[in-house]
Amino acid sequence: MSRKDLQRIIETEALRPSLDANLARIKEIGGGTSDLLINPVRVSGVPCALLCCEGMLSTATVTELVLHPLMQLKLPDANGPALLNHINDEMLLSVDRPIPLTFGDVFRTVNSGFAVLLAEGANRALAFGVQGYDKRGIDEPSSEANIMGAHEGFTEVVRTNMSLIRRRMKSPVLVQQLFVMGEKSRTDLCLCYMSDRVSPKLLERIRQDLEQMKLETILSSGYVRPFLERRDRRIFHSTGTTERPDVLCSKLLEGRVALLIDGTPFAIFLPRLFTENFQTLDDYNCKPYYAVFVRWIKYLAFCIALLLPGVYTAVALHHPELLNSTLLQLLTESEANAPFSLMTESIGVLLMYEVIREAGIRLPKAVGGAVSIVAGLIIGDAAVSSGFISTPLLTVTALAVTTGFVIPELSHGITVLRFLFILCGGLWGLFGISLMGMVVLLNLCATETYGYPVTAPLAPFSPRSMRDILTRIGLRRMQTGNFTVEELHE
Amino acid sequence: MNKIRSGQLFAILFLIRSFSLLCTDIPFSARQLGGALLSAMLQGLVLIPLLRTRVPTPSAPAAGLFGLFFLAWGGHCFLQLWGVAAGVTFPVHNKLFGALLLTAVCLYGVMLGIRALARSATLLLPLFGVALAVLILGAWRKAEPENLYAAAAGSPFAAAWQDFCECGWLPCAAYLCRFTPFHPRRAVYGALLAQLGSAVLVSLLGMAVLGRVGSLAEYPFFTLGAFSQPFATQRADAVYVVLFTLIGTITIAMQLYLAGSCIAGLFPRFPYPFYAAAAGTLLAAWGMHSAGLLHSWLYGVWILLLCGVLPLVQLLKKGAQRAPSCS
Repeated sequence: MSRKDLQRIIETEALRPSLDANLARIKEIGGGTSDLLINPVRVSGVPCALLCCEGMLSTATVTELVLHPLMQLKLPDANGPALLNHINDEMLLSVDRPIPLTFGDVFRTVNSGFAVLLAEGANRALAFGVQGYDKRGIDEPSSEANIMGAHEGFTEVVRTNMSLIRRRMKSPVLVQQLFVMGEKSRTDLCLCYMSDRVSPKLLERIRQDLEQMKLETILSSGYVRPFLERRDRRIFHSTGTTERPDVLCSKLLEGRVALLIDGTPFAIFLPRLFTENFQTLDDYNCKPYYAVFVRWIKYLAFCIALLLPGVYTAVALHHPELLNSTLLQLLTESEANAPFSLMTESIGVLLMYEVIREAGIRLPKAVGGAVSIVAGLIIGDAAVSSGFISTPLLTVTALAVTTGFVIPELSHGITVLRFLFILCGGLWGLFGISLMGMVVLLNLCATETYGYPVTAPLAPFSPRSMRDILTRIGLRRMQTGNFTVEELHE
Repeated sequence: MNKIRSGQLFAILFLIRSFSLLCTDIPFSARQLGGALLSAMLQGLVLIPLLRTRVPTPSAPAAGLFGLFFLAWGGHCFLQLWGVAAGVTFPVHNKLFGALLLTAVCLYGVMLGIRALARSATLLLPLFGVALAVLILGAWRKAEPENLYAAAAGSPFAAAWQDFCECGWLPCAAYLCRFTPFHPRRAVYGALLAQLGSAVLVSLLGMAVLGRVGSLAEYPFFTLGAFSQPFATQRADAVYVVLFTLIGTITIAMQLYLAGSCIAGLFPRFPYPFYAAAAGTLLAAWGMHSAGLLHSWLYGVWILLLCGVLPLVQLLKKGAQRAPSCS
C-alpha cells in the first residue's frame, strides 16, 4: 500500500470487530510513531485498548474521568458492543463524545487530544474529550490594541475561540458549525453566523467555495483567504481578519459570516468593506465628536502614508512652481549637495526603512533593540550628516511611514503602492501621480466579494449606511435600523 | 449583471460634461454664459424624446452610428486632454509614450467593467466638489463685479451651438440608459442641471476674476485657477491638475467602453472589441489632429441625430403601431 494514498484510504476504511486486527492496522497506519500510546486493558472482563497521543491529553483528567470509572465498571455477561453501548448511554465520562467508525476518525480524534476506547467485538470506538495539551492563554491581541475595550484575543484553539464568541452572543440564533478540512492536517474549522441576519445565498456560496478547497494543510488564515476571494488581481483584500472576539461579534451582528481556524488566532470574516479599515472598537467607547475626529485623522493618515513621498518627489522634480518661496529655497539648499536624484533618494530611503522594519520583526528580541538604535539613529543620522540624503526627504519619509502605522490592515498595500507612486511621480510628475491614483481607484472599485463591493457604501452610495463612515452617529440613533450588509449587495 | 445605479449614472454623465468645461478654450463672457443657458435648454428639449423611448438594444445601423460617435468623441477628448496637458506643461516629453500610457490606464479601467468605472466616477464627484470649493474660496476675494459688465459682448446663439457641439455626454446618456434597471430620467436631468449650475458658477467667477484678461487665456479654467489662490503661503493649482487628469481618464475610458460595447454588439465573434476601440480612438485622435477637427459643427449634427432624430423616429413608430387602423 502506498503511503501517498493512505489518508484517502483510511477515511473510508471501517473499524473491524477484532481488537487485535484493529490494533495491528492502527500500528501499521501509524508507521511506528512514538507519540501514539496504546494501552491494553480489560473492562468488565472484555479486552479493550485505550489509545491516546502523548502530550495531548491531561493525565489527571483522563485518570479521574475515564480510567477510574472504567476500572470500577462491573457489567455482567458483557461483550464489546454491549460494553460500549453501556458506557455511551449510561455513563457521562465527558461532554464531548464523538463515535469513531473508521480508522480515519480514530486518528483524527486521537490527534485532537481525545482518548479513544476500542473493545473486542465492536466495530466502532468511543472517544472522550479529555484534551489537556499545552496552549497559550487568552492574551491581549498583539495586532489590534485598544484602550477601553476588552483585552481578550483569540487563541490557537478553535473551541476556545468559539467559547469567546458564545460568551458575548448568548443568542440561540448564533450558529457555529464545526467541520474538518485539509487532506493531511485535518484542521478544525468553524463557520459562524447569525441565522436571522445572514443571507442564505451568501452562506451557500461560501460553503461551496470551501468544499472546492483542496489544500493538504491549513496552517493559518492566509491559506484559506484566497479561496474566499475572487481570482482577479486586486490590491486590497475583500475579506477581513481579526484577533478580537468583540470585533467579530459586531461583524456577525451585521449579517456577515466568520470562519475560525484551529491553529491560528486570526478569524476571517466576509464580506469586508474598505472603510472598515478605519474603524476600531474604541470609536464606540468614546463620544461621537472624538470618534469622528480620530476617524478623519485616519483618513488623512492613509492619504499621507500613500501619497506624500510620491507627491513630494513629483512636485520637487517637475512642479517646483507650486511650492512657496520658503519651501523652494529649503528644498534647493538641501538637495544641492545630494549625490543622487530625488527619486533615487526617496526609493533608497524607503527601501532602507523596509529592511530595518523587517529585521526588527524577525530578529530575536534581545538583539532587536540594538538593531533599531544602530539602524534608525546612527545610520539615519550619519546618512544625513554625510550628505547622502537630505533632511526634508528623511522627514517626509518618516512622516509617511509613521502615518502608515495608523491603519495596519492596509500596510501591505500602502508599502508597495508607495514605491509605485514615487516612480510615477518622479517620472511624470503630478500627471503620473494622477494616472497611478486612477489605477488604484479603479482596482479598488472593481474589488468585490460575493456581490458585495468593498467601496460600499461610498460607491455604490447608500445614504443609510453612511452614518458610520464619514461620521459616527450616537448609539441611541445607531441602535435603530438593524443594518446588515445585505443592503449593500449588488 | 452589468447594471449601474442612478447615482452612478449621474456621476458619469456629470463628469463627462465637466471635462468639457475644464478643457474649454472659449473665454468666459456674458455671450458664453448666455450660450451655455440656451444650450442647456436645447439639451433639455433633445432629452424629452430620448428619455421616453428607452430602446433596450439599438438596431445595427444605430449601434454603428453610436460606435463611430464614441470613437470620434473619445479621440476628441484625447486631443483635448493632450492640448491642455501641453498648455499647463505636463512633464511628459515623449508625446507618443504619454498617449500610450494614458490609453493603457483607460483600457485597464475598461477591462474592469462598467461597474468599476461607475463606482470610480461616484468617488471622483466629491473631489470635483473640493476643487470647486477651493476655486470659490480663492476667487471670492479677487472677484470684481464691474468685470461682469465689462465682459458683455456678442450673440449668444452661436455660442449656444458651440456649447452644444461639446455635449458628447448626450449620446453617452442615450447608450448608458441600457445599463440601468430603472428609468434614468432623474439621473439624466439631474446631470443636466448640475453641469449647468457648475458651468454658470465657473463662468461668473471667471468673468469676475479674469475680466478682459480672460480673452487672452488659452485655457480659461486653468487661468482662473491660477489667479484664484485661496492661500497666501501655498498654491492650489495641483488640485486642478490632478482633478483634470482623473476626470479626463474616466471620460476617455467611458468612451472606450461604450465604443467597445457597440463593436461587441455588432461583431459578437470578434474577440478584442475594447482593444479595437482603443486603437480606433487613437486613430481618430490622430486623424482629427491632422485635419484640424478638434471643434466642429459635425459633432452637433451627430448628437442631434443620435439623441434627437433617432428617438423621435422610434417614438413616432411606437405611436403609429398603437394607433388603431381605420378600414
